[in-house]
Amino acid sequence: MSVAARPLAPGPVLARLRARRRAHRPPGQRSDRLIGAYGAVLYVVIGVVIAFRLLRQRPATGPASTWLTGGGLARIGVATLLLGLLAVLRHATWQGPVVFRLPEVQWLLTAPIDRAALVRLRLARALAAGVALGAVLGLGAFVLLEAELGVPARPLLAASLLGPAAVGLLGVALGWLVERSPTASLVVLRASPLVLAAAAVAALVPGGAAGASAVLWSGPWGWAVGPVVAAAGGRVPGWPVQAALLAAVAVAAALLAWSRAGAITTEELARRATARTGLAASLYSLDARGAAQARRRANRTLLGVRRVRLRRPRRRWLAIPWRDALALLRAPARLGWALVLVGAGVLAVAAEPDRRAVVGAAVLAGYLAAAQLIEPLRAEADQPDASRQLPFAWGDLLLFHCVVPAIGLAVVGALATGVAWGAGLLEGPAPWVALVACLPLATVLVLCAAIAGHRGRVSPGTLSTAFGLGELGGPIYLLGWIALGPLLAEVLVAVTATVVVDAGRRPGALAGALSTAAILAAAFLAGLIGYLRGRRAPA
Amino acid sequence: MSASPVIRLRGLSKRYGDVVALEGLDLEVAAGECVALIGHNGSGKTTTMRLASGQLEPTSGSVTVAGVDIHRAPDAHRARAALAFVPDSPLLYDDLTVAEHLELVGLAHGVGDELDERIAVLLDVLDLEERRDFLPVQLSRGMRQKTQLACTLVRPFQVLLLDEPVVGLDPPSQESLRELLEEAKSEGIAIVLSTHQLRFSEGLADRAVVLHDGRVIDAGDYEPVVAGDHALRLGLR
Repeated sequence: MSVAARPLAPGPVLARLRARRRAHRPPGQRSDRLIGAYGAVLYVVIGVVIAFRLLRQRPATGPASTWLTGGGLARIGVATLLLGLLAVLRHATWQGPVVFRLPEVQWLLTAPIDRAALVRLRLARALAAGVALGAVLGLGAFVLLEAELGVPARPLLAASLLGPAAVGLLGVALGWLVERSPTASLVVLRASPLVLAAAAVAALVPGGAAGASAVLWSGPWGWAVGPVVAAAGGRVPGWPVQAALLAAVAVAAALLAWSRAGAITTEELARRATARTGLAASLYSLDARGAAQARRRANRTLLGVRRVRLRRPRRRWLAIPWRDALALLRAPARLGWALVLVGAGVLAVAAEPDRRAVVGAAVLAGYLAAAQLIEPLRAEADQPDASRQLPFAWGDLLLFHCVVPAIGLAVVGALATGVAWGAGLLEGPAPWVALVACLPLATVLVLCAAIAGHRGRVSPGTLSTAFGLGELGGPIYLLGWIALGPLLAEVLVAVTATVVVDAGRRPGALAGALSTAAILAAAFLAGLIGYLRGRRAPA
Repeated sequence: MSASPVIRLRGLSKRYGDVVALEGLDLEVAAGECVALIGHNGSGKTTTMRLASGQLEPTSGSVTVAGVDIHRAPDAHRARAALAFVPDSPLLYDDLTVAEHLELVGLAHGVGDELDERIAVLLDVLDLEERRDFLPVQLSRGMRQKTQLACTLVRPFQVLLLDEPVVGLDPPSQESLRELLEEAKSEGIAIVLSTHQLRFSEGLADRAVVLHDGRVIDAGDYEPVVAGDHALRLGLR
């Protein structure tokens, strides 16, 4: 007797499963979904029409039109599509277009059912969703461009819809090819910084129209934008070729993905199903960090351990900073994000020091950078019992965890200040003041992030209080809980920064303002350190 | 018991509303002595361990180590430094390797020049040497438990609390652990271990305390208690 079984077609099996599920489904679920979808479509259509009319009523700005058709649209469009494709491919390294649920992985995929057929059901839906999402984003771009440029609508609408829709199809197809191959996933993760750099180059490439033209021929992301630029009034001689190339590449990728539908291991699908379960649990409990951790855990098996050694210090109190430095070296992306956030903040403030909104946004960026760097403190708060093997009081432990992030953030801030200085955005005493302010400012931001982070995840008690407060009070309460750290940082840093920036504009007032700012910073630091030091470990 | 106790549990109770997890436990353990807490699941063993290690706050009663109340004294964390606790499920940091865990704990406790040697011995005895550069996510449950054990044993302490220490350990590792504990006893460490695997505690524990529904139902020298009616009635042997 042969034990080898031919794979069954999934149709009858799935029909039986659906029939079983139907018996347990609450009445009206399908009609509720249809009503929801109808409402969403209605909102999109109404939103598009209103946005279009409002934008049309606005007087067209000549410089903006010239910039768009003179290469701006090509640069921004290509960079955006490149980043979008990267996002789709990175998503495919831990989720992807085809994700089964855990019970399906354990029961359905281990049965002798044709896997390719099971995957194709989901892949077809994902490909359609990719096309639809691309078209919706293209529609948004059309509304903005048409209102600004006032060119003939039909060619622009066709180009705006079809290009991004084809990129959507291409993205999902490539996403599946990445999803089914751990090697391809690893390549995507490792190559991401290069793609980010390429997008930055595409957005900032010099050379006017010639540079923009080169960008349009750099790949499918450029081929999708070429026809849009041509329909918007720009000069793109080969746009029909670009459209044909894009269509051919997208269809070829989709056919390749379709043909490789069954070629994926259960292990890869199980990795994604487990990650999705963790992701859903985190999102239901409003735990954004938990969702990010679900992604990191899913990819950790791919990336392995970064071989990092750091000489152990001899002093006891350096144990925690040493451990935090190791963690940071093992996850250098955190430092990279901090550099991007702080760099953007410093450059924005240097360029527009008088705009309070810019200062506020820069403080928020600095806070987010600090929040990136205090991950070891957050991990400590996740499992406070682990720290009981260390001979430190909880409050002291929290403060030790702030040392490396504060130094790291100060160094990043000094680098950004140096760039702003080099670019001529800072002059007179401003760069020196900024450099001296880096360490205290970074310490305040890190302590604010630590005060928010040491509370751990949103607790069931906090959630039940929010639900108990009802529809009006609940969201505000939750928002307050989540925004505690940024609000604290905004108040403390913005107050100090405003004193200095205001004084900087009055001759002779700077020295006095700096003294006031130093006193304020010292008082804030003492208060924050005292507060953290007084914390006790959660029971 | 002639020697003065290193750890003393006095009238220790823990309640969750109407549920009594532990009621009026009195226990003293001297240097070089090993006491086994035995009982079924839910008898109060883990609650006792968590209270004794400072992870839980008692509803009433106290835990003192070398005369310092580990829950209420202002310098309680210093007294806790004399306590080493191995929980029933390992608590490790996601971003540190096995060897780095040991380095962190040893460094924080001020283990000086001999730290590298201690780490090498523990990794060797617990068969972790080949996995010294692994992250916890890359380890099996048993390996994580052994890492937790190594973290506990790498630093100096006076009292060792072990909650179900052999769960997840293979027989050779159980034997290695037993040898380590016997060595610790001979060096004057006070040991409290909770287990329902009497084969592990036989010959190691000097005294036994039988817990049932959060209450002590028998206590005394190990052999008579384990051979007694209470242990027999509960099916512990």
